[in-house]
Amino acid sequence: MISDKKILDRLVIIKDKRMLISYKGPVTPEVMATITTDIQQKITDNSKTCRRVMSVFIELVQNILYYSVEKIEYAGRTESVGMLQIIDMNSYYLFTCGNTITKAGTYSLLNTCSIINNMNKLELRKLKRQHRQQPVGKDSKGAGFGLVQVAILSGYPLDIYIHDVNSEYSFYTLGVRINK
Amino acid sequence: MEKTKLTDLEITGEKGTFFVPHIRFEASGQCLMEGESYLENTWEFYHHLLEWLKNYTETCQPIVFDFKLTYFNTSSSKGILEILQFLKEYEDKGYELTVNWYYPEDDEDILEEAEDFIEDTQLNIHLIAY
Repeated sequence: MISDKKILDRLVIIKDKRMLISYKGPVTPEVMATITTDIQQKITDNSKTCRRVMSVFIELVQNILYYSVEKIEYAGRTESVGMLQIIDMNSYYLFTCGNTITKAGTYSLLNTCSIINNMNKLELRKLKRQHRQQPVGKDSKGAGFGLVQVAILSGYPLDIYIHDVNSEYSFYTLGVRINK
Repeated sequence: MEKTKLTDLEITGEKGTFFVPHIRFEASGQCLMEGESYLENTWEFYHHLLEWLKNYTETCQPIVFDFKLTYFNTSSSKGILEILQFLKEYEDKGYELTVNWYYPEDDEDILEEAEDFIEDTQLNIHLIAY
């Protein structure tokens, strides 16, 4: 977990950096498609890096779709709300996403990130294979190893921060570094 | 009762709100999955492909399966694994199988995906850079 000071430091760091994408609102498949196109148009110097940013984006945004408890009525549908940022930090891209989750959900999220952050790439690949072998649950929304995949693609620890909103809910942000 | 003749399965690849890979499964046993896979109904999509393969394998004829994927999300990778596991079972029964995995030469992520599928299935997947 990162401290408030670290968040402030990050804000100072990004002051002079290039904000590629910043979004807060309903996260719909259509919004995802628009941002994916935007990523491909803005990260043109390295196709591999672009694919990694896009992969990380899709995995993490699906988490917002599935797990954000903040909902909004939008275009006649109930949509999940979250925030997304991609910042060009010169030598790498910093992808940050966030959404509101239940307090109970924070414990398993922190535990998952802790396990992931203590593994090297080979261990992560093995963990991913173990998850992938599991049968799809009847009510499963996703594959269940998106965070592991994100950590493999990043090569850096997942930077998770959880801020308590009230006795029931927390807001979490996840920062992912993707080298150029 | 006469069996229904197996026909080719062709799904045109699309890149819109979701990414649909291009599918061409021929009744001759030549199968291609190409492009990007991020789908609205992943399980249904891959189930449909598996159903076609199950029907095909009743012919006991050889299969050549070419993967030319440049991106797939984690849900799709579960579907791909199911296809590979099914193909492995077919091979283990003594039928002829060739699996080729094409990957961009600058993209070690897609290569590593194939290496992990090999580890998972013990299939002899031919890795071909382009």
